[in-house]
Amino acid sequence: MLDRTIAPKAQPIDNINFILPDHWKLENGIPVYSYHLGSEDVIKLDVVFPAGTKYQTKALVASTVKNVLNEGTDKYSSKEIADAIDFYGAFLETELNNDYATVSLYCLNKHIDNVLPIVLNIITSASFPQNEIDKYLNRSKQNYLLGQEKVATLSSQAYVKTIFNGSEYGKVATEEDYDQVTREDLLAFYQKHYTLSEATVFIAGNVSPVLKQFIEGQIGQLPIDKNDEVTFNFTLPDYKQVNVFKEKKGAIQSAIRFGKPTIKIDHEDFNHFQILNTVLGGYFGSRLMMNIREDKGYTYGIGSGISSKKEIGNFIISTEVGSDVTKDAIKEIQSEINKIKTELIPEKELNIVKNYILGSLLKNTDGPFDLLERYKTIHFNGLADNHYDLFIQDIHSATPEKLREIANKYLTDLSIIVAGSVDFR
Amino acid sequence: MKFTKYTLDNGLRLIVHQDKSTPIVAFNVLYDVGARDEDEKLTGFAHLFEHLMFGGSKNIAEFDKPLQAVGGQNNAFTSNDITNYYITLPKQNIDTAFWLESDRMLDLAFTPKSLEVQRNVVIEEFKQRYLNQPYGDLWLLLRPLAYKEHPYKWATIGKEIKHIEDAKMEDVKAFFKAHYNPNNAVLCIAGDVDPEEMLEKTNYWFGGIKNQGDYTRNLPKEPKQTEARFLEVERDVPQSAIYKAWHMCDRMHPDYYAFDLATDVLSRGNSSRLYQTLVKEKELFTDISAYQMGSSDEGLFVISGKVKNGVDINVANLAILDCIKEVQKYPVSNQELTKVKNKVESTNAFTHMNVLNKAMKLAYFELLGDANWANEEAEKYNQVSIDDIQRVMKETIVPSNCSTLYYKAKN
Repeated sequence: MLDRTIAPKAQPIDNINFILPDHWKLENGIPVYSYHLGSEDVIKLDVVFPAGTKYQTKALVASTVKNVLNEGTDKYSSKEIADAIDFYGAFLETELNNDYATVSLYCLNKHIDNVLPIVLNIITSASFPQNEIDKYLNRSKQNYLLGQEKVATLSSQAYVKTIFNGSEYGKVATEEDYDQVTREDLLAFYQKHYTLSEATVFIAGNVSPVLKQFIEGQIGQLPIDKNDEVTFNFTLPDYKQVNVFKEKKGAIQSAIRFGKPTIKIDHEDFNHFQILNTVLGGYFGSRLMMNIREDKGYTYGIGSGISSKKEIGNFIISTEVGSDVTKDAIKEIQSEINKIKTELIPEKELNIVKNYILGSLLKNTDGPFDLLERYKTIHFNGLADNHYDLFIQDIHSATPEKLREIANKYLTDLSIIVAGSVDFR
Repeated sequence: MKFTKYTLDNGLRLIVHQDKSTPIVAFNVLYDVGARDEDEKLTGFAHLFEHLMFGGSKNIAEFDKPLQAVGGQNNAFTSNDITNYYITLPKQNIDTAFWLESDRMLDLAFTPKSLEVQRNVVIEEFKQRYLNQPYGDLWLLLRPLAYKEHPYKWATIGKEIKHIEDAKMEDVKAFFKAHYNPNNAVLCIAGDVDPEEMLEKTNYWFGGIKNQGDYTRNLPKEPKQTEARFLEVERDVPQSAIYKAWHMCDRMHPDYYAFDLATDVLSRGNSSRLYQTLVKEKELFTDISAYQMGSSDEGLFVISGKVKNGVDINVANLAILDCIKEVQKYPVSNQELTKVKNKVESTNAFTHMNVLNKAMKLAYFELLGDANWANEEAEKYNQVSIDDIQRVMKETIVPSNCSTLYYKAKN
């Protein structure tokens, strides 16, 4: 007889198998990492450059380069590039963060011959036509203005300024900055930072011998300037705890952020901090979700996270709540932080979190595209190849005592930033 | 995508897709109920109900915790047509998914606390996504402009917050009885699983669940629109926007694919007509898109764009109409047609890289009538001719069938 009150027995999650990529160097020295996996005849090819926003000496330069990159080259117009990429059903995406810029191509294997040469032409010979720059900046400025109407954007901007105060990570563009970007700025940044001597190539999907040969014939034959190595000195943020309020009149919700700068992924405490963060606000069943959404109904969602960038990490709690409950929500967040610093996490809760993280890890190392992203984390942070195995060991061995110690070490001096119509201070 | 299909005695349909390459199983339960099945005085219910489905079931106090404890994740979404619940978890723990999903199909806990809290959560969602967001109320305006009779005239979040505030326990229970029945659901499992074993487990966990209600969908048909409709609103937004919607065929109609490709010709990718003409060449819009809603019943063909500041909104509107006339007057080129078909092909290939996508797709097509239509779609897109695209554009994208919304920036 079926007894529905008894849960099926949980089986251990011990089949996480993080495979390392194939690695080789092309004839011209460019390193390639690849995963030959998956049943479909598709590939994703990423070329990563040290061209993140931290390198720019003027606001918006890195993002404008990234966005105008495919708007014209020495050979093709913007329209011709768009026509060719679209015609072969390919997707060309460019991504930018504080540290890196990535040009990603998604393509059916059978069309790669037609598409890759165009992408490489963009990477090596973008021309940044003035009219395309103007059009982009105009569109982008209107998006910026749209953002200024959203409490979430206002709050995130204030967060970045507060947490990374004084460092290259802490700059936020203003409306006026959109009028200051010149074509010379873009060309200089492009030439210095989209340089093949600093590029890394990642490929995932059907990386067949034929494809490898084609990549060698294409990317491996590009000429490389050996002389421009990118050097960079990061200014550490001058952080102090503050409470910031950005007024948005008439807003019916407040966007709340808590946070501070913190350790990076290569720090010995990082894995434990990650586990602690999951308990606090890192999954649907987290304490913040259970209290502020599921018990109080103040919000549609709340979460916390640790973001590890190349130079420094940051911790964040983020939510949007009804204006009338702004202060109550802040009080509840503070009480959850206090609780996790003073009381031991019950074993049962900790076990749920451990299995949740293991399950996520299993899912996030499934298939070539996910594996590639995980490997990039290892690669760009200089982590050991067995990083994920060590993480799994840390998950198994984490104790409530250790996590309380971590909470007291890292959940201190958090700044509070609110955008909305209710001044919480 | 190969699959095996079974139907249980209680009417529950089971689709199993075997993919041996992954340690993850996708467990997708699709219910044949959406916002279109709501009472006009109780809108937003299908979506509110989706939230309540996580508030504990007859024999299990909490849904999320036991799932997380075995390494699983889950979520759900509600549309005007369907409500879809999905779990991904390590395959060795698939029994937990059976246990949780079958118990909440059997019966919910219906605690007053859960109703109270989820009402508040949904109200905050209403505010966050529809009210406190620039252009957030757009669908709350455009739907009732385009639809006068069919329940597509309200959005899934509901017509107004009040309907959610007023939700009563008895209404909630009645909704469950009417719609959350095995014969109104499709279970699709994708992963490294054996179909026969899945059937056995499905019979074990779901076989004893009885159908409690008997809902027959009988929705009012939207009368043919005979004259152009127009609405203008002013809001605190940084730039004006135009939304235009035309009635089109339903999801199962053979012309569906021609409509879909027509929207791709107009706006898919940077090479598309609307983007090239209106954003890049004429610089009248800062962004523009064309899409169709993919609704099960007769849907909408939509063009929407944000007007560049300083441009007269009427000029911008006329420019959209010019682009449409162009497609109606001159057939699209072979090159353009091949392009949009190539995009469909590659999108499909990338979608199939993931078991959850595959499970959702198979379940959805089974609900429409036959899971195998998921496999036949590619050929249906392939069959679309240049003439088909011109014909549907000429027949349908006409002023008397159009609802236009000017969403103007103050000042």
